[in-house]
Amino acid sequence: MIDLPEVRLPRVLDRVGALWHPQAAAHHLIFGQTGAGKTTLVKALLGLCPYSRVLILDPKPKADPVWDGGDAGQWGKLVTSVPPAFGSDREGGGPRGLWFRLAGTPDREQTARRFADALAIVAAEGHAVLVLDDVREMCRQLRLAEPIDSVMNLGRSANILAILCATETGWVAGRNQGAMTWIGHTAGLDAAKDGAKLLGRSGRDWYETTAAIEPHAWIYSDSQPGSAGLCITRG
Amino acid sequence: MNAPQMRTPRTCERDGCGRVFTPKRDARYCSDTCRAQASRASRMRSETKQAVSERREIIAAPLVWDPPSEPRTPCQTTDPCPECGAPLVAEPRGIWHACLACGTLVTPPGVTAPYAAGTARQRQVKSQRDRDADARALEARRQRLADELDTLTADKRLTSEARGTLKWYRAEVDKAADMARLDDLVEQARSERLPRAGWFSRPAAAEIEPPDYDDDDWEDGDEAQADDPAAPPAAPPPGRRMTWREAITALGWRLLPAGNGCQLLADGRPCAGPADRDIGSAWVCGAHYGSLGAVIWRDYDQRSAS
Repeated sequence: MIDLPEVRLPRVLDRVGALWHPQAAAHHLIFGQTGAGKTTLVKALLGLCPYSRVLILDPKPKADPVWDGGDAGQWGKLVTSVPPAFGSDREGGGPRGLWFRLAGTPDREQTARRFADALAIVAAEGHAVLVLDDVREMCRQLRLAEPIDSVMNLGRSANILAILCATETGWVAGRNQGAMTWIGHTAGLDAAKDGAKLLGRSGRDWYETTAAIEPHAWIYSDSQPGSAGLCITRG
Repeated sequence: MNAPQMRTPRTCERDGCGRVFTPKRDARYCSDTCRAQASRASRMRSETKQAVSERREIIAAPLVWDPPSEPRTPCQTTDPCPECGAPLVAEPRGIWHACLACGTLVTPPGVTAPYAAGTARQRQVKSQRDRDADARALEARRQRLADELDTLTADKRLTSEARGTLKWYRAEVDKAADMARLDDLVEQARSERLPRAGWFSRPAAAEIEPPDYDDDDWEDGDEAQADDPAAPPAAPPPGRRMTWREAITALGWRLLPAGNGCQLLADGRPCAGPADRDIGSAWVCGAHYGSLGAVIWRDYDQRSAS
């Protein structure tokens, strides 16, 4: 086990707030199993962008209590498609009417079509924070790896920030583009190894460390100038 | 001659031995056993020291985490506010813009640019549905051209060479992967001469022309028609209807190269309507089709009355 400094989440968010920008560190990668607290962490990160246009792609066809809790539209207006220049009239949800949430349907083909259209709009217009929850399902089941990769590559040139949430690392487009990495609760040695790899670490001590992360706790890492290395945070 | 080396007694260096011996050369231990024991002890000491040092490093690692975290502030952009013209400000994440003078959020120009006319250099939105629609339009046009070519090829009066040319066009139309290629083929086909073979036509000289072929059998009018079947008659019969092309000219409009939409350039502006009406050499939208039709019928009525 490796001893890591334990830091309160608001302090880590201060650091993220200083880095998170298309010209510096554009994308987050959040890795953890179901129930690890990925969506809760995304909500904390969205607190950093109240004035930004946000599009959340959530392939889950059923209502998600984490997203749907609270006021209607608090975490983005639930829509079935996004029009061109969405948010220009501040017709969405969130604090400034700029947040949208595109949820999946039981029909996988229809979900894939909706998401592909939305990704095409984001790729053309730029200027959006894109939340992919969960990116592995979108890449593998919905076969959207190519457009997701393209949007991620646009990042700096088109002012696109992305938050990728993944339960596994295989099949995930853009997993190596996370300037800020969050490793959360996983089960099994393979997942622990994947988590350590995403942090750029290997060895038994690191596998034990990533395997021991509790739900709603995160190892945070960024490789930006001034980085103080890894830390563990809860929240 | 060298003086004989002095051999002084020495104490064995192994911990716990302490025996005094007289070394033969520069030995540090009194016996082989002592040397082996000392070597083993040294190795163990080294390993222990390394382990302790690593442990110290881990313990000594600073458990404070305090990287620089200066909050990002809004920064000024070069884009002017559409309302007051003041320079816009990008919010801390750099995604959306705001005008501090007006106190409002403003859509960045990059968001609307893909939909502005005449910005071909910008990225254009092309969804799966758009791509499907393009593919359908391409297939429909390909099929239409193929049918037209099949009709032409079925004309028994055409020469073998003309039929061969048409077959080549037919194959190229099948292979065409985009509208631009079809445009090019249509343009080439329009300028193609398709001679007919018949009782009136001049047969291919090298193969079947008899040595005593008499050119006097030809009539001038027939020859002109045989060389270019598509050529319009010199004087249109009275009361004939105006053609689509003449109607377009009469209205002062122009035809654009075939694209996805209406091909008409009316009043200097391209039409964005869906091209769902065929006027022979082009496709136009329903509204323009109606306007052209009205001109043709008005003209026909006037001619008939006169």
